[in-house]
Amino acid sequence: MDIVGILTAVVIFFGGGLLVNALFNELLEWQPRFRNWCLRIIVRRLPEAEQATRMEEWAAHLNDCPGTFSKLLLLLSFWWAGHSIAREAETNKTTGVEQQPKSAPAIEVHRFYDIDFIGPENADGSELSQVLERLRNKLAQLDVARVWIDTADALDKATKVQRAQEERVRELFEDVRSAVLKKGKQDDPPE
Amino acid sequence: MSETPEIRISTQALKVLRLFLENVRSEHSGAEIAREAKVGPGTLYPMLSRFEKAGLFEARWEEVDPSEVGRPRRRLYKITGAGIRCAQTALSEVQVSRGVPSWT
Repeated sequence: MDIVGILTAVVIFFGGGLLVNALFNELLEWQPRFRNWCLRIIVRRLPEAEQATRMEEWAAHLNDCPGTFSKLLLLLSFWWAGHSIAREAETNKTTGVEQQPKSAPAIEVHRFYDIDFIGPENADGSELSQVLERLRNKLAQLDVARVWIDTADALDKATKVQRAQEERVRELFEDVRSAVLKKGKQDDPPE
Repeated sequence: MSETPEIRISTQALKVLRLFLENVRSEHSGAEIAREAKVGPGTLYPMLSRFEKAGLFEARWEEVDPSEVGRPRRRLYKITGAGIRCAQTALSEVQVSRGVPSWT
């Protein structure tokens, strides 16, 4: 090979490398726009009410995902998710299936965590008993098989206010807890 | 007995429900759930959509200004009372066979 041929090969090798590198950088720069464009295409298949929500939610998920190729794979997952959600919505529309439960539970158990005992320290024990009695009655009315109750947490709140009557509060709470457990067992189907 | 929402509880769904039962007050974004429960987004989001519509999960937007933090807001999911009940029932069926108490 003559010198001109060698020089041409070198120029093509390095020039090609630079060109590929430039193209790759260009693609990386365009990647966020490309992602958003893909997301828009994907969410367009969803029910209209869900489109804006999923667009922002999935954009946030993409943002939390490191790496360029991982993001592209994630887009494929979103495409599949969008396909499934759209298909389910379409099936429900044609079959008239109602996804919402016919009767929602009467009370949401997590609200029990928000029970606060507000009152002066060393308040009258009978007042506290009345509050807990009402709570016990409310729980007894619950028509549920199992109730998730964080007695320790509620007890901690109660004892902060009622330090002087800690034992009494503990007894009352255990009483409520055992009543709920008993109710749960009663509602359990026989083995 | 109040009616439990009719919802498909697959193995993947159990993983997600178990994650939420670890701390019933916790809130997780879709990315966190996918990572922690090891469920692919393609399966996860239709599941979250079903759970939300069935009242098992509730969702809210992260309280941040996207222009300030420079990223889109995350959507945070939390299990509801109905969700806890449904999850406990579903998980207890699995746990009973392993000798783990369903009531914790």
